[in-house]
Amino acid sequence: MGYCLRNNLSILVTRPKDDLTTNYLFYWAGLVIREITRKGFHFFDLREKRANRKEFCGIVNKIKPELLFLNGHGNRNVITGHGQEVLIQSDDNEDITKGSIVYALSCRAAEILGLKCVQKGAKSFIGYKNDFIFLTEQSFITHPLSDRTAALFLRPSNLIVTSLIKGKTVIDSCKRSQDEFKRNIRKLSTSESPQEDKSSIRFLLWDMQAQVCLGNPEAKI
Amino acid sequence: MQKKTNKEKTDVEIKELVIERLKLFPNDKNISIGEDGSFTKDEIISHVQKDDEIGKKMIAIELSYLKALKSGVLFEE
Repeated sequence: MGYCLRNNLSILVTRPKDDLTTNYLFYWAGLVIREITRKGFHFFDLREKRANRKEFCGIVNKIKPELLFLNGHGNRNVITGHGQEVLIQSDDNEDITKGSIVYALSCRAAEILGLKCVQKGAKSFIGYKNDFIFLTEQSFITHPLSDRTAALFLRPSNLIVTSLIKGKTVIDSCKRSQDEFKRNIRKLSTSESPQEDKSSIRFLLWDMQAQVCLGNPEAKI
Repeated sequence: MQKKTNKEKTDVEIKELVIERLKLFPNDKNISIGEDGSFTKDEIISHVQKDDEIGKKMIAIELSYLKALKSGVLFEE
């Protein structure tokens, strides 16, 4: 019964792919999309050039998805799509998120834009109040999903959405993500962990501390 | 005036500390910093030396990490 009800819920994912950073986010968001599909949600995948303002606003205004999973560049006032086209901007169209839960894997967007989204009716906004930084291995640039170093950062991030689609609340989903960051930090801190891997710890800590959950912590999809 | 001089001295020392720590960073990894781009170890060290925005971010990250190590927050259950 619960499964059938979830089929009526919709999720929108934006995932531009026009530089190394968004290329990684693109493929790692693909893993989440696989889970979304498996769970039977109705979803919209605005990938590459489809991550543009016209398509984004058109679908969000028409469908009002329960969850917006936004991957891309950003700053304290904007989240962008393909070619850094602005999808959501403070004091412009943040009301488009009204009624939705938003997870923005985008630098700094939680600092101002996230607050404004919540003020304009978003149920919750999960994002980063500072830059989301991750490490990559040069030999895996063309195979982002095989990059174990990037996985240390992008798995905790993906846990937000995979937890939400399992029916967890926003606050529980954030906690699971935070716990995964901590697990990775502890794992790398042990003496068995190679010295070169320990360089990730400072950035994992940074991302963990930058992640915030705004709005209703008990919201769920 | 003396106070300002001390602060400048401390800033230089912090910068040197961060650079020395970054020298231990592996050569085969890049740091992806949002729309700023992706950087190798040498590029990041160069930004810290120039004291530009990216360099300042790296200093903030390193200091935040060192403070966390000191406070024990990294190993809290």
